[in-house]
Amino acid sequence: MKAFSRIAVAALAGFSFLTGSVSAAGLFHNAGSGPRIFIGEVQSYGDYELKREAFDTFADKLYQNMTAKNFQVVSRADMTNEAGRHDEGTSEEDAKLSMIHMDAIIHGHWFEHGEAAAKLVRYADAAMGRKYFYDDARIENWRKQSGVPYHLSPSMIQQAEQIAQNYGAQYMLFVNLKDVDVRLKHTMFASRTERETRGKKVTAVVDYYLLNTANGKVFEGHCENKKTAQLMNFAIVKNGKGMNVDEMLNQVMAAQVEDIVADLNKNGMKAVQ
Amino acid sequence: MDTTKWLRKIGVVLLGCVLIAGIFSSAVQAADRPVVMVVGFQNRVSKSKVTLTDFQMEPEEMLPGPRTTLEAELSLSPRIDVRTMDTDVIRARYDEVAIMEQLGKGEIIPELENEADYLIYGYLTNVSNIKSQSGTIGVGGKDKTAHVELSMRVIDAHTGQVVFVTTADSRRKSELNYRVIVRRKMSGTETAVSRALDIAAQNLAYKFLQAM
Repeated sequence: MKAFSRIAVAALAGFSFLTGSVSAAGLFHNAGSGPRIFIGEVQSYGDYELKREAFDTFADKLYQNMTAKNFQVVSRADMTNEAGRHDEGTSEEDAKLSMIHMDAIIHGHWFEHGEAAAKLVRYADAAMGRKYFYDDARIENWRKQSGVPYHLSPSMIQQAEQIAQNYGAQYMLFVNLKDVDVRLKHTMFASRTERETRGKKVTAVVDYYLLNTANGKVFEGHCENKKTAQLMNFAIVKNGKGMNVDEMLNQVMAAQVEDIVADLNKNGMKAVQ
Repeated sequence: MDTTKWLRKIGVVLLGCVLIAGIFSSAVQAADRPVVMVVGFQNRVSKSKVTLTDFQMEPEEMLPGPRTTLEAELSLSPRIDVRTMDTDVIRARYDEVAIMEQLGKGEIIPELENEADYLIYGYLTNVSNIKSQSGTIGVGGKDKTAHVELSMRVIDAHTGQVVFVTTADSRRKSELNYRVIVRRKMSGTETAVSRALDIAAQNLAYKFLQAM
């Protein structure tokens, strides 16, 4: 009788351990085994801006693509940091993320002073002095070294490290969609607001910055697409001739996101070690 | 006789243990299952009437369908507990942008904090009527395909961090108009869009459950 009682208790304990339930604290904690990257900001510091919704959609595609390529991705609910970008009564973290992004941009290889948003120009002039950005020889030389990592300002490195620690990440990613435009071909004027893409050209230029908060190193990537709707359709062969503007932008974003993540995998992670 | 009695007693004890274990494991499972709430869908499609002339429906009218589908699909999973928002909360906090901003600043929404472990926000990111030319000898015409794309973010309700993002799209034929001897029946654009949204929402649910 005693032996059977012990067996019964063992069976009871066994049933308890066999119940495989998903803990409430970690629904997606197994997603990705690669480096943990915090998406700091997906914004535009160029002359022209898309609406916030477009940045959010780009951020979603980027997050999804990075997860698919085995990165562990973490971000705030506000991936575009709209409040920080436009100084709208922001929290300290919003403002800091915007400043870290701007610091990465102005030290980067692809920064063009004459085509930057007003906020970025003010930051650049205050940080480095305006003359610094009109030294053509220096700029040309620096542009030729595209892909070579550099460092943020020391104060920015500290802030980035603090923020990254809050999110349990070592790396931070910032994306500057500095020029996304759809316009009629062969004209400098803005296109009409119609859905038909025939005769339209899309331009999309993106710079992105991978920051290693442990050593302050930044890798800058650059992605540029200038295509007509016809060329895109031929290449993608997904939609009919009547692909509209939203479709076109979506396709461009999807293509750019793939390029960015591939570049991060191939070059970015190595460069910031 | 004694043996029979003895075996009967053992059988009762074992049966009791099995029942207790079953109740215990169910309680453990129920207590430990993460609670998920679909907050709602927002529209990210351009709101200009000029850009949506193909559709009679406004984008906002398309949003309730995917939400219902997503809730229904997620509810089928035994691994999560899907809770529905109270109608009062939906009415009072329908401005989901405000919720997103609060979460973005790390502020936890009081109405939602103790209601769920994870909040799901859906977005309509693309809706278009794609025209295509099709032609076979003796048959000329055009048909349209409704293409919709949805995006989903899952946010940890306790920390405000995004923990999962995915997108899904779907295409459905919306209009057939062949100039042939036999005229085909035309299917409505709205029906095609609704069906495409349903399928896209189902795909979102599938990806969510796969990623868990």
